[in-house]
Amino acid sequence: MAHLLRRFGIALGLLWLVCTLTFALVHSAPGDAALLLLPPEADAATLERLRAELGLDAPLLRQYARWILNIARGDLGTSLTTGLPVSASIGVALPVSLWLGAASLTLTVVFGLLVGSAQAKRAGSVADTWLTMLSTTLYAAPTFWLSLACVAAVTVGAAELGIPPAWRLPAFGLRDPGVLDLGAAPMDVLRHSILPVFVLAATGAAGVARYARSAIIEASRGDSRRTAVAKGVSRRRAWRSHVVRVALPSIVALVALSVPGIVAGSVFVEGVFAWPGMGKLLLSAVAQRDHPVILGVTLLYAAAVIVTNLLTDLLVPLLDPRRAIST
Amino acid sequence: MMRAPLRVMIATGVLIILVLACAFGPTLLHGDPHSIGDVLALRFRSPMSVDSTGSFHLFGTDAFGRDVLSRLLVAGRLSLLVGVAGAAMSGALGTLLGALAGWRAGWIDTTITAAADTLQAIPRLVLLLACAALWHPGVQTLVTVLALTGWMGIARLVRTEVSGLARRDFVESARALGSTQTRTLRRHVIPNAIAPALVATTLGIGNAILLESGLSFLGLGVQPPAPSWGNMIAGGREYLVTAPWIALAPGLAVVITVTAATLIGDWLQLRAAGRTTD
Repeated sequence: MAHLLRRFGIALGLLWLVCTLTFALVHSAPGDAALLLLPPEADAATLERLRAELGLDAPLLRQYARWILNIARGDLGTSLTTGLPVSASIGVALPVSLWLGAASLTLTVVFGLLVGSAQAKRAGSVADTWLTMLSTTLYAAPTFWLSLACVAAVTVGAAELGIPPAWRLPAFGLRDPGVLDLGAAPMDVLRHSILPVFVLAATGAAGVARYARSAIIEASRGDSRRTAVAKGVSRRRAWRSHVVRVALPSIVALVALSVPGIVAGSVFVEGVFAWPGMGKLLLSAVAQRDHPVILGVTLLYAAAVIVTNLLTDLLVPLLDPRRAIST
Repeated sequence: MMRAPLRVMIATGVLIILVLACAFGPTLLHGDPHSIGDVLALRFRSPMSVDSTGSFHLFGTDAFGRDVLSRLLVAGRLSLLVGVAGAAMSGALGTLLGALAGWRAGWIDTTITAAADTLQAIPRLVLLLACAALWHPGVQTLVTVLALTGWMGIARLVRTEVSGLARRDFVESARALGSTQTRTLRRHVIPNAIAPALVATTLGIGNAILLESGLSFLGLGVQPPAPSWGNMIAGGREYLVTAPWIALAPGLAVVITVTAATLIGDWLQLRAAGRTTD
């Protein structure tokens, strides 16, 4: 229990450090929000008035205190371009991204583990070498470029092959504008999800497979398997209970580590496929230099990473009692 | 000495050829990668075609009639340079801070570890995007930001190594013989802790090249007209339907380079791990 509280405290402290860092980032950058909002020919008096309005004329320490207090109350500020509260924009974008993330993370883990453990079982074979090449190449391919290739394939490619329009996959967006019927809408969203989920899951599974393969090979060289085989446990059971089970805690830790990667991938994927989620929100905020939105999205991503790490730290000792902290 | 498997040798060969081609190719090829000639006559020539002036385009021409191959090679200089410089600088920074944290326990260690934890909590691409949006995009910003966002993993590795080494007998005896702190660190500790940092830095090159291409694709990295693989893909995006080779060629260049760098890095990691368990 004391350990749990300590972990919680560390996570909160980290979140506070991230807030401080982002605040420092914005205030060390050249220019401020007032300069961005006003046309270049605006005079100094107008500039000062807007700065006062935005609270930018206060001493840095007071601005910092206000910013931290506002975040603690869940107020992330107001977008400079749309004038909407940042939390409202995030509220719209987050579920759309969560769906994409959950679907692709599930497929990533399932396919990554299946391919990685199959490779580890036949390590050194021709199939293993080819799969390693494939996963390394996928891991090396820029996500945005793969997404562009998919867009080309389902538009021009499908047209050239003579696939009827009704059978073609949609390349952009979350849903067709015409589909308002509640019965058809979920299917429509699902159809639109196929390509982005495919790109994210393929690159993610490649990374998980690479790691799972080496983790399982390492576990298979361990003593527990040799002992199990020596005392007459069947090969299949030895593999399942003394190799894969031994490698499981480090694989769980890896999946947690891959969350930032999926976030990064999803930024590009959402950008190319015009998927109206957090990644797209971040990209358009970056393009418009909309500081409050950039900061809000960054904080939320950081919070997601911190929470994932916290959960992993609590989950891994359950899977591997050797790593439990005695309290 | 473990002999390198075939794929690592092929990867090394491919990388050497690529670097040589980027270094010397543009001077040997006809055609300036920046200049724009008779646009209407020269643009969108398909790969393996000869244009009206009689010059041959292996990878075709782009929307402004520029030869894709010579642009690809010039872009490669910048993309490889940014990738290697970004990875090397984050490697150096990570080694320095990691050694400091592992050697000097107490508040220095706490500060460096807290800084690493904080930076690692933000996905690297998001941090890069935020920095690129706040400062002026360009090659210098790109390399600086790559260095500042990539050192944490390496610092962690070096810190563990150094704090282990600090208690070893040969370090103790160096100290007992009156060797200064700096000298002990430089002569006895860092050389023994450097191998994992070098491997991690090598593995970081591929990642840095990918990030460079991504940021340049979004218009936040290398600025046109200077070509980089990322902004070439961005330039080809509009013509995906009519002239797919413009985006295809630089994408393949990234995939080949990063695959080769990853294969070599993986093998180095395997070797380093094998050596420490012997």
